[in-house]
Amino acid sequence: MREGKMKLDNNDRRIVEMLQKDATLSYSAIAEQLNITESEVEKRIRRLSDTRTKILIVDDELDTLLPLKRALEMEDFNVIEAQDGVEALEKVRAEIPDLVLLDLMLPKLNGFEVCQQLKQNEATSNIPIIMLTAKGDTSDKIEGIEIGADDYVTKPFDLAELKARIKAVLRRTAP
Amino acid sequence: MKLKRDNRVVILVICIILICTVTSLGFKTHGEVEEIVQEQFNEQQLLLARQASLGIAGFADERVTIIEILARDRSCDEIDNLTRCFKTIYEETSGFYSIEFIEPNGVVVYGYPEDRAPIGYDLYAENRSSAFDSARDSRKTKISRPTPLFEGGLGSFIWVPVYEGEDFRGVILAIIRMSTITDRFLTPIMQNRTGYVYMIDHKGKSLYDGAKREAIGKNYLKMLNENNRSDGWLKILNEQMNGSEGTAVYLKEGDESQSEQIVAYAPVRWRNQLWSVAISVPASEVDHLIRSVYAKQMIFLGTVIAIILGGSLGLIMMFSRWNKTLEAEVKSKNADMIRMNKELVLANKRLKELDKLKSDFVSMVSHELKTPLAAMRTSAQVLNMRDAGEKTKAEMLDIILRNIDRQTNLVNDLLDLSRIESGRMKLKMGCVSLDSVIADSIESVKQAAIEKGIKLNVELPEDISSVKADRERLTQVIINLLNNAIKFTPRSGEISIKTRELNGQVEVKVSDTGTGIPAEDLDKVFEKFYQADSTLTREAGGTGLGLAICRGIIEAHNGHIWAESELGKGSTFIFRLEKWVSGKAG
Repeated sequence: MREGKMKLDNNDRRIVEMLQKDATLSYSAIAEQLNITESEVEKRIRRLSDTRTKILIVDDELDTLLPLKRALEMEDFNVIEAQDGVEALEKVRAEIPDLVLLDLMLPKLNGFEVCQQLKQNEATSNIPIIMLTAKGDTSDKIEGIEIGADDYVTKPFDLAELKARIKAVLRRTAP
Repeated sequence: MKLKRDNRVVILVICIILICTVTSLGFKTHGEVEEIVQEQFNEQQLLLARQASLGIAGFADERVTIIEILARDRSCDEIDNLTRCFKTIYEETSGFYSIEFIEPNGVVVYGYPEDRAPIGYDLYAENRSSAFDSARDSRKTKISRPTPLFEGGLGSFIWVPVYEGEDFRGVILAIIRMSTITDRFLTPIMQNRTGYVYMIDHKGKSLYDGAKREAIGKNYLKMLNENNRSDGWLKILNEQMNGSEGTAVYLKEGDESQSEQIVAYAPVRWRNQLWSVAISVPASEVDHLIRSVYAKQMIFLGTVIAIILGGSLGLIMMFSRWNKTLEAEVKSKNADMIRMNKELVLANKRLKELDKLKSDFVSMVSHELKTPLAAMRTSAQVLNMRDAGEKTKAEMLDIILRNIDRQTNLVNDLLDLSRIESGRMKLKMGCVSLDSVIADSIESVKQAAIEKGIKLNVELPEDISSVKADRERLTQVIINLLNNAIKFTPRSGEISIKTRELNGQVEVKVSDTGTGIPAEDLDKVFEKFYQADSTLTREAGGTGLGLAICRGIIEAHNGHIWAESELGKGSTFIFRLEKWVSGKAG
């Protein structure tokens, strides 16, 4: 699956191009042209036609990540996940999420570094980032805001509050 | 360089000027001192001469007076009485050579002592009556110039006329030997001194000469004329003959050399006689005196300088020693201070490190406590949502339960750690057999190992000794080590646990085939929350405190625990505990 995802952008773009030329094009025709399976095409089209807001949750604690994911899915967000800093960067580049919920303490690359890299890259700099952390230090908050985080929420958080903040940030950064 | 040379020249010139000044001052002072000493010396000589002359005059005059009194008192008496008186006078007063009575016809009729009296000697017959006549005619005492005596030596003749009314009864002649006078008054002056004394009469005849006995009785003027020399002395002699007193210097021409002589002279006035006493001392005496004064001064100065120099040197040495001691003390104090400062800096650094460790620990603990709370809270809120499906609900409950366990574990570990760190951990020491502990431990980690497909090897010698330990805690350690090994060993890896005995101790070794630990981190793995942020730890449900607790427990048993590792090949955790010795409990 992973290898497939690597070519994702290209294939996606070609699927979109083809469908724009001829909206009646069947899945099998596209699959043939792109040399991929029909179900794959179907999956891609479903994802491409998914108009829900896409949120990337980055947290190394699965037990934290999972309930949050379920809650946001129930709010009708398209939720994708990453468990470390490097994976987070890859996911952002591949999926271009509408918002990133970023934990601070992450293996490989910590939240600050991930945030910094995203904000320095032009392609990703406009993606809003909400920092999530169990550390409540003011200095951490300030550092997070300084390197471009759009909001900062400390764990344990109130789900309703987090959802409200997510919506607020999305409104603020909407094009 | 040039400046230095100039400085030297200036210093040299100043030195020369100083030396010249000091030398000229010295010469001037010397001159003044010489003058003063000379003056004092002359004065002293003159005083001596005067004293001698007064002594002589007094002595002689006294004798004359005695005879005169005798002549007047006894003038009416018989000659017999007179002569008896002679004896008394001769015996009672010293100094007379003889006393004689001469009849008006010029014949000596009596004398005392009788053996010295030329009885029957006729002055007229011998043509020596001039003094006798003079005394008779003038009716006054007549003293004749000292003349040689029959017996040798000079004698002074005192002619005292005896009148009874207008009748001339004769003359008392008293003779005083010159030597009697000179022995008494002049000889003692020059005892133990350089120089000599002489006395002349008014014609220049020598009455005494301390240097040349043979000159006595001779006339110096004649002698000088013969030798045709010593102008200076001639002048002095003339002065003396005039009856002057004073001091003078003349150049005495000896047989081989010349020498300056200082002569102090004073007149002796005795009735019609005028003599003069002179003390002649070589001028070198003054120099000698000055020299002796200088020598004494030099000795004094030398002593003073020596004392000053010695004292100063002593003081300097004392001060320098003090200084050295002080310096050494200051140095050592300074070293102490530097050392203390270093220690303080180190202590401060350590304290800061400790403080940082503490705050890191607190922040870490709060993070570790908050994380499961966050999971539980979110899960609970999800559970509470109306549109949550059954599957999601089950999932959420699972998460909540798991995190409750996780937090319980963490709290337990924190409590253990707190007990260990504060030394409050109570150990129920007893005889613990390793095989049962290891079997129990393996039993409790078996499931996790099987899940990861990890093989557990146990190498336990059958006769392995029991150890002295708290069974529960020891089991906790071994379980921790095994869990740790399982965590860091990839699927299908191997974990082995071995024991052996050595030197009264039992060693337990837990090895894995995991990723290993970098050498620089081998000690750090026993620190709290080391690698606590690694996903691996969380996944395995660890708290990041396991190894810290293991070390605490082993050290509380007086044991030792450490880690060895080869990167990529695996790690080994080893601990050693004391063997159980039967009969020794506690």
